[in-house]
This record gives sequence, C-alpha cells and structure tokens, in this order.
Amino acid sequence: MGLTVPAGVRDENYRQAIGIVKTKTQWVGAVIGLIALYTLPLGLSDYFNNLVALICINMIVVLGLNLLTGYCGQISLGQSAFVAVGAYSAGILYTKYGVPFPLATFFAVMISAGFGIIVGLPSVRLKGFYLALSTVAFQFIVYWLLFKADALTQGGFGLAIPAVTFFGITFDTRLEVAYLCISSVVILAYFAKSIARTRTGRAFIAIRDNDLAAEVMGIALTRTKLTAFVISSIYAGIAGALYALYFRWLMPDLFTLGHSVWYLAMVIVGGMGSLLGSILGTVFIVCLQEITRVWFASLAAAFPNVLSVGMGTGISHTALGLALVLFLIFEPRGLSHRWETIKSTYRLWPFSY
Amino acid sequence: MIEALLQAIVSGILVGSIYALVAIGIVIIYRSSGIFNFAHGATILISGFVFWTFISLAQLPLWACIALTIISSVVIGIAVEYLAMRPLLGQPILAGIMMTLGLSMLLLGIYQIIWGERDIVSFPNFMPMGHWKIGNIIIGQADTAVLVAAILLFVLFTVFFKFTRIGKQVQAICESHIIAQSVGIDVKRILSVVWVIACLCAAISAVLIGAVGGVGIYLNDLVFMVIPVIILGGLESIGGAIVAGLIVGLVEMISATFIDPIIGGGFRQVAPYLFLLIVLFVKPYGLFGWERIERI
Repeated sequence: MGLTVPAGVRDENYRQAIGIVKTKTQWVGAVIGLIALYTLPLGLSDYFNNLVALICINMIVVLGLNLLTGYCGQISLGQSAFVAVGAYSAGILYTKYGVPFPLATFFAVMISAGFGIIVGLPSVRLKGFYLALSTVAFQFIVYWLLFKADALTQGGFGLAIPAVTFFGITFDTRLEVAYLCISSVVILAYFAKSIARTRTGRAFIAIRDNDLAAEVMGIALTRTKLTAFVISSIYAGIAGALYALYFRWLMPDLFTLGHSVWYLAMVIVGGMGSLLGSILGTVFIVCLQEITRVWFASLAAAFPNVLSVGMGTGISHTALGLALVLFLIFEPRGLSHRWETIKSTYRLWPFSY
Repeated sequence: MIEALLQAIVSGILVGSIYALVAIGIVIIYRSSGIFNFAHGATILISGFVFWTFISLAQLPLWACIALTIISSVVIGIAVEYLAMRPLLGQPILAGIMMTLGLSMLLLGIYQIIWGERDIVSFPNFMPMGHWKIGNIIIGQADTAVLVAAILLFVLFTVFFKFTRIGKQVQAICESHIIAQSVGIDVKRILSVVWVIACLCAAISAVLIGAVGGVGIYLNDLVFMVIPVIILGGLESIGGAIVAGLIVGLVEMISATFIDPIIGGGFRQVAPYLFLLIVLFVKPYGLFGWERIERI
C-alpha cells in the first residue's frame, strides 16, 4: 500500500500511518462512493435489486474465502457447505424454534465457525492439494446430510422461511434486502481489510509464502491456520443467514460443489490476496452468470425449434468455462492486478516507468 | 449373511475396478505435472458419446468406432495440453485446479450442445454381457473385463515407465521439471505425451464403463467419486490406484449392504468420503504416495 501513496503525502503520526483512507481525495472518494452505493437501490428495479443482493451475499463469502485462500494459502473447495450450514442453522432456528433472526444469525455463525474448526483441523497435517480434497469430502458430506436430516431441513423439498422481521423492519421487499446486504458487505469488507493488516493477517501471508519458514519465525502454525478457517467460515455463516433471508426457500441444490468452485473462481478472477479483487471478481462472475442465463433464455425463446433445454445449459456452461479458462491464461493475477497496472500507468504517463 | 457379504465383496471389486480405471488416467497426469485433472470425467463423457454415436447411430464396424474414439480423445488431449495447460507451467497449484475445473465445465457444455440432455444410453452388444453364477453370487462378464483392463493397463504402464525411453523421461520430469529440462529432456513434449496417454485411458474407460453401465452425464461425476481412491492409493502411484480402487469399491458395497438398512439408504454415496477423511487423518500421503521432504 505504502508505495501507491502520491508524492508529497507524509504520515505525521501513527493514526495517519495506520489509516485505511489516507488522503483527502480518498476521503472524498470514499464518502461519494458510500452515498452512491446507498442511493443506488432506490433507482433500480426489483430485478436489479435482487441482483445487487445476490452479488453482495456472494461477495461476503468471497471476502472470507480470500482471507483463507488468497492470504493464508489454504485451498477450500467446500465453502458453499459452510454457507449451507449458516443458512440452514439460521433458517431452522428462526422458523422452527422462533428464535429472533439476529440471535439466530449469531448462533448460525457460531455453528458455522465450529464446522470451520473441524474442517480446518486436517490443515495441521495436510497441505495444498490434499487439503483441498479433504474440503471436497466435507462438501459432499454436508450436501448428503441436508437430504438425510430431512426432519430438520425438509430434504429435497426445501425449507420455507417466512419473511424476516427484526428491529421493526420486515424484510419482504427486494429493496430492504438489498440495503441489508449492502450494509453487511460494507461492514464486513472493512473488517476483512482490518484483519488483513493485523498481526494475524500478516501471519496468514507468511504461512502462504512458506509455512515452515513462518513457523521458524515464531508464528503458531496450527492456531493461525485454524483462525483463517474460522474467519472464513464466519463470513460464510453470515452470508448463509442472509441467503436464508434473501431466498426464503432453502434447497440443498443451492449449496453444491459447483457453487464452491465458483466462489474460488471469483477469488482467482479478482486476484488472490487482494480484497479489492474479491469485490471486482464477484461482480464480474455473478454478472457473467446472470448474463449467460438471460442470454440463453432469450436465445431459446428466439429459436425454440433449434435449441433444446439441454443445449441452452450447454451454451451457458461453455461460456462460463471458457471465460474462466481464458482468464487463467491471459490474466492469471486477476482483475485487481489489471487495476493496479491501470493506476500506475495513469500516474506515470507519459513515461513507461 | 455370508452370501450377502460375498456378493458385496464381488460387486465391490467390480465397482472398484471402474474407479481404478478412471483413477489411472488422473494419476498419470498428476505424477508428471502436479495437476489434478478434474476434466478427466468430462473427457470420458465425451469419448463415451463419440463411441456411442459411431456405433449406434452411424453403425460403423467396431474397430472403426474404437479408432475414431481414440482419435477424438487424442485430439482433446493435445488441444487441452497445448492451449490450456502449457501457459500454466510455473503457476500456483490453485491455478491448475481452477483451470481443469473450468475445462471440465467447458467440455460438459460442449457435450450438452452436441448431444443435448439425455438419459443414460447403452451400447449395442459388442462384448459378452452375460453373467457367471457361482452359487448365488453373480459376476458380470463386462464388469470383469473392466477389472482385467485396469490390471492390463497397470502392467502396460509399468513396462512403459521402466523400459522405454519416453517412459523414463516421464519418470524424470516427475521428480523435477527444472532438473529434467537441464539434462536435456524436452519437458513440454513429454507433457503432451502424458496428456495424450491420459486421454487414451479416458477413451478406454469410456468404452468399457459404457459397456457396463451405459453412457450418461454421470460419467462426468466419476472424477469426484474417485477422489477417495486417488488419495488412498497415493496421488503418484498407478499400482496404488488399482489397489485403492478395489478397497474403496469394497468399502462402498459393504457399507451399502450392511449400513444402508440401518439408516435407511443412501449411505453408499458418502461412505467413500468418510473413508477419505479417515485416510487423510491416518495416512495423508496414501498407501503408495511420495512423502516429499521439504527444505527451506
């Protein structure tokens, strides 16, 4: 961060040195950005508010996953299982036991964090690819449990959740849900940024770069890795609770391995180890998924005789897969890297360095 | 009871040989490039449907169908290696994982565009499809062919890696790409050879598994079903893939026979994954995997 501060800007005290927003321009940008973010849903139709809420929920998962995978280097292919745990815990507590929603969310996050510890435990012994596969196993087991524990989850039929009311507000229109999701993202992104700058966050980076060296330098390896898993599962748990509030009909098929893969794809497309990247990557991928879905719907409507349903899913699969493949080939360091290049080009123009 | 156990063991071995066959193709790529090929299932799926198209729709003779299937899978292998995997040399493993996942989605999409949504379709008979009966235990002949093919492939690859020049070069790049390159081995060429071999395995698996259970979209998910097999056998060992395939098949069928009645069905699907977690805790590098020693 230090290198990107414009010339002539000096930190005069510690408050400034550790500030996230440093210059006046950044302050103005941050305030305008927040105002724009909060007035945006008022001008959008229900469809777009829906999309905004979906992007925000995904973004929360991806912020947590980026702390785990991008910063700490532990690959998780089971993130949507954590989301499922959060969503179903909140949904079941709220619907079946009448727990107020904020409290249900709190318990859901605790349960999700508990699962985070369990799934994180193999990371003590396993590295890289082996760990990724153990999270795949967790994903399949949770997915199976969602069907099997149908006394609680209603299995494949789906768990219906009535409109959530708390603090006197009923979250039944898309506008309210969008506001709640935006606020959660703003707060959680701030937390993520703060975590990344603490001792723990720096320990994550050290572990990612070389965990043996990190241990030699006095970082408690087990504890830090578990912390990373717990933080990411807390984020997933919160996202899960929002999912319950947003969809109001939870099905096991909302939490498959495919979803986990896409969360990871968002991290990669955005840029590993960059929180700005998580934001960009999520917006990019969710919009891409939405566009291919809508695009196909219009294609199938235009050529009902030529295109079958299977071909439609085929086209959207091909487009998404191709986008991911092309991204990995041409921009392996992600959108955030591209953003940094644009910024430095702008700063240095007309010189090349 | 004893009979049920014996039948479970026999079916377990036969199911396990399918897993072994699929696992071999994945292991070959992992040991030489360090990439777990999640697209293997989609390759099998496409090869299977290519074979089905030629043998059932075009009704070509068997040898022509097999040749065309092999050609198509070799083309897929070369294209994937050259266009997608080569730019990834030297990237972190997560990039490799995502690339193969993206490729599997891409290939799945291509399959859906060409063949649409289909139920499982089966081949016309070109192999003995009968059963042997020993007492009350049923042994499928096509299933046995899968087991034999898996073992034959294992023997073939062992000979190939031990006694041929290219095989030895593959062994060398398993150790380290950089060192292999510096002693004059063309790493990129060897990697494309490896991908072609793996896609050949995919074609063979597609034909044999298709003969046993028909071809359908489930072939794509096989790659996730063999994860426990590959971890148990060790990511680098072909022999391990076979042994572990049989063990996991046994675990699956025995739990299906004896635990399903207690908890009401469906346990078969997760038993391999629970088994995988146990293996990861007890013996993380599998039965025959290489435990790499790390130096700072």
